[in-house]
Amino acid sequence: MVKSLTRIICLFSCLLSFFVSSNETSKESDAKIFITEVSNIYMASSYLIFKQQSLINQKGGDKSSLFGKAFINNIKNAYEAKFNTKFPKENRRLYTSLLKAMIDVMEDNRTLIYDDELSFKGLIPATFAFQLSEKLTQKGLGVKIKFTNFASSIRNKLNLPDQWEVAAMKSFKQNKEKYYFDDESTLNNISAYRYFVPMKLENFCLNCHGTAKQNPLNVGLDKSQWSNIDVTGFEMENWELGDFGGGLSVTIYKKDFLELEELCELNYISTFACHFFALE
Amino acid sequence: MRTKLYIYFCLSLLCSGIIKAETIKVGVIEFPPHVDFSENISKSKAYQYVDDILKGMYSKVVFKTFSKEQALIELDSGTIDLLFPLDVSEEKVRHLSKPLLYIVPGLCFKKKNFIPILSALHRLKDLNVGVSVGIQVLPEFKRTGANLKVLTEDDTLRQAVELLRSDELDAFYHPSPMLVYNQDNPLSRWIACSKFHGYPSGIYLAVKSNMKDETYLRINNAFSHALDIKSYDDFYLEKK
Repeated sequence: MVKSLTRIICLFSCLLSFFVSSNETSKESDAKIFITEVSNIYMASSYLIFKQQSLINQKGGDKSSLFGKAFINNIKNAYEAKFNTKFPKENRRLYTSLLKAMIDVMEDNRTLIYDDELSFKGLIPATFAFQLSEKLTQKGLGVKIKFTNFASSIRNKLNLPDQWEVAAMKSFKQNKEKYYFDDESTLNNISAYRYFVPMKLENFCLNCHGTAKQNPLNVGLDKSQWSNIDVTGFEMENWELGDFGGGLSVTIYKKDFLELEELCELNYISTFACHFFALE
Repeated sequence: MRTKLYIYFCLSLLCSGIIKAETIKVGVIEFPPHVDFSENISKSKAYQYVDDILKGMYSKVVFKTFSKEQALIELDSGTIDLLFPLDVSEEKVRHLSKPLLYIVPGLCFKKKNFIPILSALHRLKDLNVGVSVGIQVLPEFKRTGANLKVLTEDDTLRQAVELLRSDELDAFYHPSPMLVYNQDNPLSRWIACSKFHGYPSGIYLAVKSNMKDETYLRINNAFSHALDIKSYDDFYLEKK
């Protein structure tokens, strides 16, 4: 009788540990998919910002596609074209918040974008990323996105890499991985999922990071007059197509990865608010 | 959505029995485009947001407009209970825990001299930059080697604009340049501003120093919930 009972308890424990561990594994894998998608959404938006440089900087014209839902639709199209896959379903609070933050950033730049007297507005992928990350922090969403590189190759010191990012970049250089995902990391001593995707220089990067020959400001000038200062005011790096250009670092605090329902259960937000807004 | 936000607060506060048959006095400072004294204040977005939350808590909410200096005196003496919008990095006052919005400092230039990306700090070296007296500039900016010229007239913005026009300044520093450089401001026809991204500061609702802790907590919780549910940014964009 005791033996049977022990066997049942053992079996039950095994099953329990299996379900717990598979649940954890599923959550980690879920997080990995999610953080990859966040990174891809960001890269699609960044690509779009580059592609829209003439529209952003042009005098006059219809610029409505840079704002609101139209802008998001363009990001979705850019995502599907770049990654050859459907845009993720917006069933997560963080997806919708991320897209909303992108709209906000463009809205913050509305006066600039419509300023016909400025030939270069300075709204480029790097500044868009910076403003987006700032917006996400202000919204308290627990998502951080930044372009970073080794200290010797960085332009904005606010984008200097932390230890984790340095390790990720070194690992990439040694192992030639496609990405680096860490589900046991921290940022500011808070448990976080972290993801780093290296970026190889594409043609469009070379306008600023390539050689003087690729500097659009030098078009039509005699070689003796060429400048190696790019349109943003920085010295060009003389990098070449395919070179390591740093990467995109995405961090999501684990507590923020929880969905709204879980937040409600854990009383992060008031129960009443959960029920009320669930009706929407 | 504004109605929904209001209904939500009324219901939640009624349920918890904390709508008070009391009056709350709120001081308001000009802070365009969020609070614009040139139009009826009830049209200002920040006013509407704060009003929605407070009228769910108090039977009477009285708003009064002040200059910043006068408002701080009123808050200090306790004749007003709340004051907004206020950059608390400049004023040491008691305030709610979450900012209503954020501002980012920057520089304003004549359009032909516009520098769009201020992280290119080396481009600021040797520029003559006006700074209003009492304004703390970013240490990073101070270190660029720009020549800072302190503006001391009563209306330092007007002074800065005049000096910019006469080329005595290359730029002027502003704690929130978007207050100047926005489509509603005629000045934007000939100046353009860029921001020091990465250096945001919060704009808060300040509370009188002798406010009872219980009252403070009640107001603080209400605003925290409101900002969680719908940030002021979102509210502003929707109403625009």
